[in-house]
Amino acid sequence: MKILTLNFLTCAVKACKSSAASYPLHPQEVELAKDEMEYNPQAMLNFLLRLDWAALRMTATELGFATLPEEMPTAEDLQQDELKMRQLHELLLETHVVSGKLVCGNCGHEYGIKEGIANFLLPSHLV
Amino acid sequence: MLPTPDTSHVPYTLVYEPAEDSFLLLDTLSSPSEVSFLSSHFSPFPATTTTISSPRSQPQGAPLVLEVGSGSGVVTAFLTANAGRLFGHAAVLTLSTDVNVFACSATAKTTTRACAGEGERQRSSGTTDGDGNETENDAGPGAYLASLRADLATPFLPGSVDVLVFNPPYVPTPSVPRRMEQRGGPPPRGGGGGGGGGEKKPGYEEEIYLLELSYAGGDKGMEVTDRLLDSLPEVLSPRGCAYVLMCAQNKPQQVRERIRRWDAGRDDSNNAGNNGARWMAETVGSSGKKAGWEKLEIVRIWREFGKVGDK
Ligand SMILES: [Zn+2]
Repeated sequence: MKILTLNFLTCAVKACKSSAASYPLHPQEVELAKDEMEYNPQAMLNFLLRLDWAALRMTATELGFATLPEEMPTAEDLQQDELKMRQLHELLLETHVVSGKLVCGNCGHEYGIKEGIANFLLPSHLV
Repeated sequence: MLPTPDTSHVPYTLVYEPAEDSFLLLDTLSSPSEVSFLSSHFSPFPATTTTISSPRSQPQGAPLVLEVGSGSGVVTAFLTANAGRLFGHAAVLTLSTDVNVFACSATAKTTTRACAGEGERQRSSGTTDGDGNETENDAGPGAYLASLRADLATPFLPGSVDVLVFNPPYVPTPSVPRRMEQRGGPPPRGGGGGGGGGEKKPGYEEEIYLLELSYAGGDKGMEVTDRLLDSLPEVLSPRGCAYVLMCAQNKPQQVRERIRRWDAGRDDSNNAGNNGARWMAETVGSSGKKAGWEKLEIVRIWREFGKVGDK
């Protein structure tokens, strides 16, 4: 599961969807790995424009990566800063979670991750 | 014809084998009309534009593609490996869900392999395609983010999915199988269902269960599809669309009419409903009766915005 995934996920419990605390989920006790992926600056720019920067910042910080700037860099800035783009490419697309868990900040439910696959099936009392 | 991803590594006693329905999805998604729809609807963000509005209220840039119930992964792999050809650019993010953990592993493997093969083809063919006018970047595979074990699209952020693809269990059956652990089986281990992996060797009973999950649609074959349809207004982005496969017994015409009566104004997904939006549902691909298969069709579901002139 690539790090960018966390930008699109929230708690699977229906009652949590409306709570701001359920997004993003908090990674805990994670084991990370890296797979190389071809760097495509034009695609990378489009990926960045698609994501929620504040949530990404929180995820990156919680995973122990260098803090990202508070404001998302503009497309122009990024196009002139290949190093920054490559760092984001490495963090978002090459780094992936092998195992660990994702925790909802609202209800505290923990979603396990094993062999790169996160399990969002809920126990019957939460469905 | 775009290549069909290789699924020869998939254990078909545990995971649905690609069949007529899967291939109809591949043919439909790569048909000229759908390629035209996808590439005009999800064109890349112009690199020169610097004003960025909140992506959560009105996503732009790379489309997020989600296949629900990905099984062998043949559709997810096809969409990811051929992203450049289907969307006109390679800035496409893909994900998949399945309740069957063996399907989750199979999808990840099928997709990774298909993309590696596609990347290889791109490199060996140089920087232009056959027409000599596409760059390598445009034609390449998209980025496959994750294979998730989940019920439908339940873990997704509201308003986040741009293209949802679903080949559901659509065969009418007396009921939809209940989850193993909900019918007296051993409870899930550890905090909340253990991990996603943990592939123990399944027993015969579990094999039957996994097979049933892939086809048993309950009443009219629509129990699972109806739950997915109900979730679309919330999970799709304002520009989002869904491709849902149905068989004749699902009464697709009634389903299309029902969707068109949905009130786009009720959507709580931000500002989608306030500018003359209405729900659309059209059949965009179908197969005739052949060799024991009844007529299948693919319905595309999306919001049309009155004045803006979206295609
Ligand atoms: Zn929660």
